Amino acid sequence: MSEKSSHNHAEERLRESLSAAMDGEASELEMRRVLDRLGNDDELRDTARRYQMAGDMIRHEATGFMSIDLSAGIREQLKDETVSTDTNHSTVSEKADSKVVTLFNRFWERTGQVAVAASVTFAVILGVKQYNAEPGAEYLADAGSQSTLYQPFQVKPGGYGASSIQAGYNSKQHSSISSEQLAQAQDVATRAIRERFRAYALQHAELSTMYSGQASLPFARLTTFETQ
Amino acid sequence: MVEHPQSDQHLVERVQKGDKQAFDLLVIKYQHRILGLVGSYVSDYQEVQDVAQEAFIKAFRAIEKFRGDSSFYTWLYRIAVNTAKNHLVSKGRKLPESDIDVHDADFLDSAASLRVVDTPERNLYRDEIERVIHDVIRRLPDELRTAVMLREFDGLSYDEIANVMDCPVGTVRSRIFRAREAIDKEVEPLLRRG
Repeated sequence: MSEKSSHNHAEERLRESLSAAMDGEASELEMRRVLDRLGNDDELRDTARRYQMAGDMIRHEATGFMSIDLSAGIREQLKDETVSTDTNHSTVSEKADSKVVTLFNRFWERTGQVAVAASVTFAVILGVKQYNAEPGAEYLADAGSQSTLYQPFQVKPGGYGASSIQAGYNSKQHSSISSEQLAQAQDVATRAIRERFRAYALQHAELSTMYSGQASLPFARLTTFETQ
Repeated sequence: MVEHPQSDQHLVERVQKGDKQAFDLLVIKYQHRILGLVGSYVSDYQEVQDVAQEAFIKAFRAIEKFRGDSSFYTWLYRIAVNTAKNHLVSKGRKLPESDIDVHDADFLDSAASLRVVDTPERNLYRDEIERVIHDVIRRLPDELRTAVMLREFDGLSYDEIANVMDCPVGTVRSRIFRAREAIDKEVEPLLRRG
């Protein structure tokens, strides 16, 4: 399939999602995708207006204002406003939903933290293993570059073992990582995980749309974690 | 008028959670009905647009209070009527003797908007688009025509249409989309020209 026809196919699927979204029959993921695009895709907005106009005409409800579009002006006027959410009026189902979302968020946050901790541990173990493997590697590598590479550690003769390497590593490397940097790294990792998940979820929605209309429903709730 | 309350509920909930794009879609869906409704109170073409826009802004600002006791359109309709009346009062104009019932609104909207904005050219243009749309629908394969008419004219949900047509919901969705695409293919060039 050429790039152009692939693009056309994706656009067609987007319009199918729009059609379903306008009928309130799109899955949560499709709705997200359509609404995301609607904000900055004039062509899609025009398509939405034409779909609506065709429906009005089928019902003989078209008015003399059909060529007018208020949506751009309204969007402009509302661009700095936010909806004031009134949590006291939440329904039982909304509260249950938000609980699920909170649990889901916590799950991903913890997964992110565990992933970062695992990465750091892995890096430390890998570092130790590499240093332990040095004597063997020394014979294979170029002697000049070896001296440059290991110079900062200045391993004393006779003290060449895991414990001395460990001590050198701790004093030089560990002190250079502040808790703030670690927190930043955790934040980056968490965001990366979320983005990757979102990409997977959207990809899944697209494939689901292609092969069956309802297959993405089990994932519908998952994406709401991003809106919180 | 065919209302699809369940189809708006998802969008309204999204707006209530802070998603402004969802409100954008609600505006696209209802702007022409609201313009027509306001046009039955206000007779100036530009003022109709201003009042309708103000009604949508008010609706957005009040949407957290919408609890779904009525359909979104009925709620929006009331806001639009009040906005139009306030506009008339602010301009020192006479209020209509009786309110328009929401169920009669579309019938009256058309008549009122004819009075306010229609010129012979606009009338002809609209008639041409309507004729093209009905012509395309007549030429559609049976299953596409039935699906789109059950949706647009009778206001059935995809599940209900699937029951009537004895086919999967995914097929209904695809048929409605293909019908809309067929109509759009003919209508788009006309709108570009207009």
